[in-house]
Amino acid sequence: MESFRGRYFQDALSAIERIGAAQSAAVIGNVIVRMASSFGYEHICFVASGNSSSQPFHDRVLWEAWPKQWAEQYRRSNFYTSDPVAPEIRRRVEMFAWSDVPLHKMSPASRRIMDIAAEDYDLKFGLCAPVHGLNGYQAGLSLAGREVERTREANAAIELVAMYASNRFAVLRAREQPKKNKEDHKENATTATRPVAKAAVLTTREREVMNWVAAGKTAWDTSVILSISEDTVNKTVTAAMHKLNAHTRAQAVAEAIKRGLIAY
Amino acid sequence: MIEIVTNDNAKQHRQLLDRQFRLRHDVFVKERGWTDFDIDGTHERDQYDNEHAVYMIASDESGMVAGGFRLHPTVLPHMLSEHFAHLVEGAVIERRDVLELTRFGMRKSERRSRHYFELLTAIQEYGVMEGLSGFTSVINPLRIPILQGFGFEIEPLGLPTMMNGEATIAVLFHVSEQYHARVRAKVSIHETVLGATTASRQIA
Repeated sequence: MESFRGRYFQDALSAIERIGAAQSAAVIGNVIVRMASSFGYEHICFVASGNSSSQPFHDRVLWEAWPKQWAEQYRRSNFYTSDPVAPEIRRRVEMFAWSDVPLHKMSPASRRIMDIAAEDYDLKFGLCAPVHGLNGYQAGLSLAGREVERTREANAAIELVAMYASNRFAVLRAREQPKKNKEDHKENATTATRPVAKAAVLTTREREVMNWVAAGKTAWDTSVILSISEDTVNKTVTAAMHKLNAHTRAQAVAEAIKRGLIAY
Repeated sequence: MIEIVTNDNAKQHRQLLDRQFRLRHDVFVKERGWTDFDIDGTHERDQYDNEHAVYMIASDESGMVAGGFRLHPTVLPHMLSEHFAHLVEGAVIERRDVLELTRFGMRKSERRSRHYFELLTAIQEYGVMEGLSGFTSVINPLRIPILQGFGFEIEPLGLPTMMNGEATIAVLFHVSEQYHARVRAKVSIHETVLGATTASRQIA
C-alpha cells in the first residue's frame, strides 16, 4: 500500500518527469498549474530573476496563471515596486507564506497591494518558492488560493517541482540562444563581412551519430540503430571530433552541445 | 589532481588519506557540528570508512588536501540503507552499478576552485570509467538547482524532509557519457581528472 507521503512523492515525480520532457514553456506551465490546483492553489506566477534589475517585470514572467484583471492592474499600477513579497523572494532561500512577511514592516502602499489581492481577487493565501542556482537567485514561484492544503508534504512537493521547472525553463532558453546568436552573426556579416571563423558545421550524418554518442550508445549500438557499418560510425565520429577540435568523444559531445549542434 | 584511494593502495597514500580525515573533521565536525563522528578531536570517521570505501581526494603538489568525497557499494549495508531509508520512497537502491556518494567536503578556501570543479567532473568520469549508472546520496535540496547548473541529472528518491533542523533529500545522480560531457562543458575541464591514477591502474 502506498504511504501518505508516497502519494505526494509520486505526484511530484510524475510532474518532474513531464517537466523534464517538456519542449515548451507552456507544457512546464501547465504541469505546474495542474499540480498547484491539486493542492487548492488556483493561481500561479513563475518569475525569473532577470539579467538586470532594469529588466521590466513582465519580461521576466516565465509562466502566469494569475487572475487576468489582477495581472493587468499589477502592471498598470506598477505594483511590483511596492509588492512586499517581491524582495522577500529574492532574499529568502526557503519557501515561505505571504503571511510570514511581517505586517508591521510593510509600507502603507505594500499593505494596500496585499489587501487588493486578498479582497478584490480572492488571493487569500499565498506561498512563494524561491529557487537559487549557481549565480544566486534564479527564479521564484508564487502560488495563491483561497482554501489550500498546507501540509509539509504538499509544500515539499511544490518546492521540488519549482526547482525542476526553473531548470527546465533555463535549458529551453539556452537552446534558443544559439539560434539567436546565429541570426546576430548574419546581421554582423552583412555590415562588416566578418569571416565565419570556427562555425564548424557537422553533416546530418555526423550530427545523427554524435547524438547517439551523447546518449551513451556504443559504436555497435549506433551502427544497428542507423543501419550503417560500425566502421562508418567510427569514421564519422572521428570526422566530427576533428571538426570540433576535440581529442576525446566526451569533449566532442561537450563541444557539439555548446555550439548547439546536437539536441541535448 | 584527483587521487583514487582504495583498500588496495591505501598504504601508499597513508598521508593523503590521513589529511582527508583531518579535513573532514574541519568540515563536518567543526563547521557542521556532526560531533558523533569526532573520533579524536582531529579526525572524522564513521563505520563506512571500511575496506569497501573508495576515496576521491583532490590535492595540490604540496600535498594540501582541498576536498574529496567517499564512495561505498550499495549492495552492502550503507548509510542510506541503514540510517536514512526513511528518506526514500519505496526500496533503497542496492545495485552493483550504483555506489553511494557521501562526505563531499571542500576546504573553505577551495569552495569554487579548480579542485571543486575537478571533483564534480570526477563523479562522472569515474562513473563512466567503472561502468556505473549512478550514485545515490543524501544532500540538502537547495543543492539540486546548483548541481543541475553544473550539468548533473538528479532524480529525487523521496520528498525533501527536515532532519535535526536541516533540510535533506535522498537523490540519485545519473551517470552517462552525455551527462559526463555536459558537466565538463559547464566547468570547462576537457582533460581527464583521474589521469595519473588511471595510468597506474593500467600498468598494474
